Amino acid sequence: MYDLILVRYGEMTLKKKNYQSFLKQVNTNIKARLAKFPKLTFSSTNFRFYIHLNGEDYRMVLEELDTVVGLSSYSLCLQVKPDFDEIAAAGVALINYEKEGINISFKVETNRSDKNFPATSLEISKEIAKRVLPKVPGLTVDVHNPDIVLSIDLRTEGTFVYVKTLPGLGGLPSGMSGRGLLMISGGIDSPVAGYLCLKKGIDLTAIHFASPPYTSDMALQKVIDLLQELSKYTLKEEINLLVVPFTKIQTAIHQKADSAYIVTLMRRQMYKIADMVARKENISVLINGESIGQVASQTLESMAVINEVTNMPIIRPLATYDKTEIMEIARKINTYDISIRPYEDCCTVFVPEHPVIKPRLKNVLVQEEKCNLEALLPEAVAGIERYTVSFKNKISIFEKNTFEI
Amino acid sequence: MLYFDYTATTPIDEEVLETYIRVERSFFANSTSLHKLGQMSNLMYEKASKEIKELLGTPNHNLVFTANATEANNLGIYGAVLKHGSGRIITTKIEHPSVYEVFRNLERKGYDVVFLDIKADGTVDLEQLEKAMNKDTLLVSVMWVNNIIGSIQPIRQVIEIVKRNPKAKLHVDAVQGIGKILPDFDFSDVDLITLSGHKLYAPKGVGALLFRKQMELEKRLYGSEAQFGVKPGTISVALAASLCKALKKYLPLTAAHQKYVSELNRHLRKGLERLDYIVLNSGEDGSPYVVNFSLPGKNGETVVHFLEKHEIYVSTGSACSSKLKKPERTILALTNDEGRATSSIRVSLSHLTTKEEIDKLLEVLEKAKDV
Repeated sequence: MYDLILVRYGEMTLKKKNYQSFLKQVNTNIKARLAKFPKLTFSSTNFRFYIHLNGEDYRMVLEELDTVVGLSSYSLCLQVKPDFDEIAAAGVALINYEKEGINISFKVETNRSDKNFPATSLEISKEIAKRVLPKVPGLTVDVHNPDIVLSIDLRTEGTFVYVKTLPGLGGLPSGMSGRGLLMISGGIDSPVAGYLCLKKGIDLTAIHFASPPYTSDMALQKVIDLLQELSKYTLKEEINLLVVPFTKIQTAIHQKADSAYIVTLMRRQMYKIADMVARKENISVLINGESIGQVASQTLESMAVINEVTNMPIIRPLATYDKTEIMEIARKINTYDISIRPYEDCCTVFVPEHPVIKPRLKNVLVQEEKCNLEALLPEAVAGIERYTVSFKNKISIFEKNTFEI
Repeated sequence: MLYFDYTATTPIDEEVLETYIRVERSFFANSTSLHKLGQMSNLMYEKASKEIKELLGTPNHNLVFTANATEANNLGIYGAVLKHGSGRIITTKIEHPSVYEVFRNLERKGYDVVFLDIKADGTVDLEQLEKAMNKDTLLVSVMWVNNIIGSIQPIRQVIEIVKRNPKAKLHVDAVQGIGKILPDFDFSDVDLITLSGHKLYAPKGVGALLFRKQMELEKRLYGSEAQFGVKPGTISVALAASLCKALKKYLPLTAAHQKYVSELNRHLRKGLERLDYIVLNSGEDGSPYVVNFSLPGKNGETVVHFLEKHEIYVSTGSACSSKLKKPERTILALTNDEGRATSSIRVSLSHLTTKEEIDKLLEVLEKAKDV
């Protein structure tokens, strides 16, 4: 049905001096993501990107575009000659294709940036409405609340007619904002935090703390499956996952510290390790799914005491989000159903009944001293296992238990 | 025993059976269970599904394992049509009952149904199809290879015609074609595809429906969300793996088997042409795996029983479920001759068939003159 998809860029259009570098990046990203459609061809101007379908299925192209960060909207267009007959014919075809029900109202909106066309925008709209109206049974004009807006876009690069515009993902193009280390547990929040950072163009590496035998292979698989979903939004369509063996540290804390401080101490060690790993991997920020007040370790007091171990910036995209808002995003990005699989993760084992809600640094340091953790941290870093996770090539840690059919 | 009824079903392949047993033993756990065993079963199920889609070149389809092709046809056709309250649906007069009867039922429900005629060569009338397509057309269903006479339908042209109407979907029952003849079309161009396991040396009890990812099918079965909610219920991972194994083994052999069976087919046809009381119903351009002929004046079923006495197994292909001898629908659509349609015999071949077996069949058929 459609000839091309008109793509409008997102927030980057507010940039001034470095706009061109954003433009170059986002165009590269679109083309890379759509490389699997051999018939597509592309053209662009400073503010728009055109995908010429040449027979490819637009629905499948849109499905891919929906994972490209930095796009504000797309319109599904017919391209015609700048001529009343052709524009009206395209309008009739589009309205017939899109309309649902018999009695529908419409209006025409014209944007004439190609001033060569011998009529004003208003005159064009009126003329096209006059021609389209009798051709579609049941159609009426409603300029205030139309069911369908028929848009006519007269530009130097072409004349485009469309009735359907869909929202894009928004955000800034991938690859424009540096790298972050996402601390991922397997719960609902951390994947959403990762997604929001991906949307801002941050490239992700993930770090996960595993405590076998207290945590299982299934918990690790859950993290892999979550990252698989997130990998759709990355530039390379993959995310590196670093799995830290955390059992020794966790048991040392469990055995030696006052149980009320277990969570605080555990999280401090996670931050320390994340800090060490980030520096080693040349990553400049840490990212996590903390949301103020959600659990004992996420009160402002706890955050301060835990954060004390690193001076690396920590992005907490969900800090001010309510749980319901987080869940809504999780559902949208298909991570919710994975997150609710009921396996223990390192944040849920050894959780004391009454954790300290407003810890004081002085007391925390006393407890930490008792655990003799210094040697265990570098040992954990040295024992990291690395996985490359991609939705294109799903990995399963149970693969070794299966065989080739 | 001489078996000539491979179109009805095939004996299981030993390797496929081994796959079945191995998977059933090791992966008996419910693939939706959250424990490790369940996850292992799920992984095997996903593997089977992924590999089948890769073999067919349909990465953008969803795959649902069904009990058989009848279930796949029902779920696919009802699923695609009932999503819409009304509209036109088109099929042919020679579809398998699991398509034909579904269309008849949809006709009773008020849908505007068109049954296309077939031409003398057993293929669908494409001009009629073009004329029947209108803007309300929801679905077109055309089988790839007919199960009674073996005519190969022009799916490539059907795709072209249906494509012109962006709202219409195309369903292809590929049961008698897959692994037997090389397609001249891409499966990825078909919206809904039906497969069967036991027609290709896999066990009975498994078929598959592939449908384009963007499609939402109206539910016919209610239960869990397993298999996209289209076919809820516990999945037999072993049957899924068996179907995968059969396709994996036989798809690469398609060309070689087609060539070998074509030679058998020519040999059989030559032999049949010498028998003056036999009229061939299958055309030369059809699938070499199916040879249908009539013995006008005789009853098809009597001939089947006569051959059976010599331990030769063929099929009438007609529905003799009642005492009323109903003419075979496909033969009737093809010949418009009731005599031929009540005396038809279907001999179906396989790469397992030998020339000697065909000679023996011809020898016994010669005696059938006086049955």
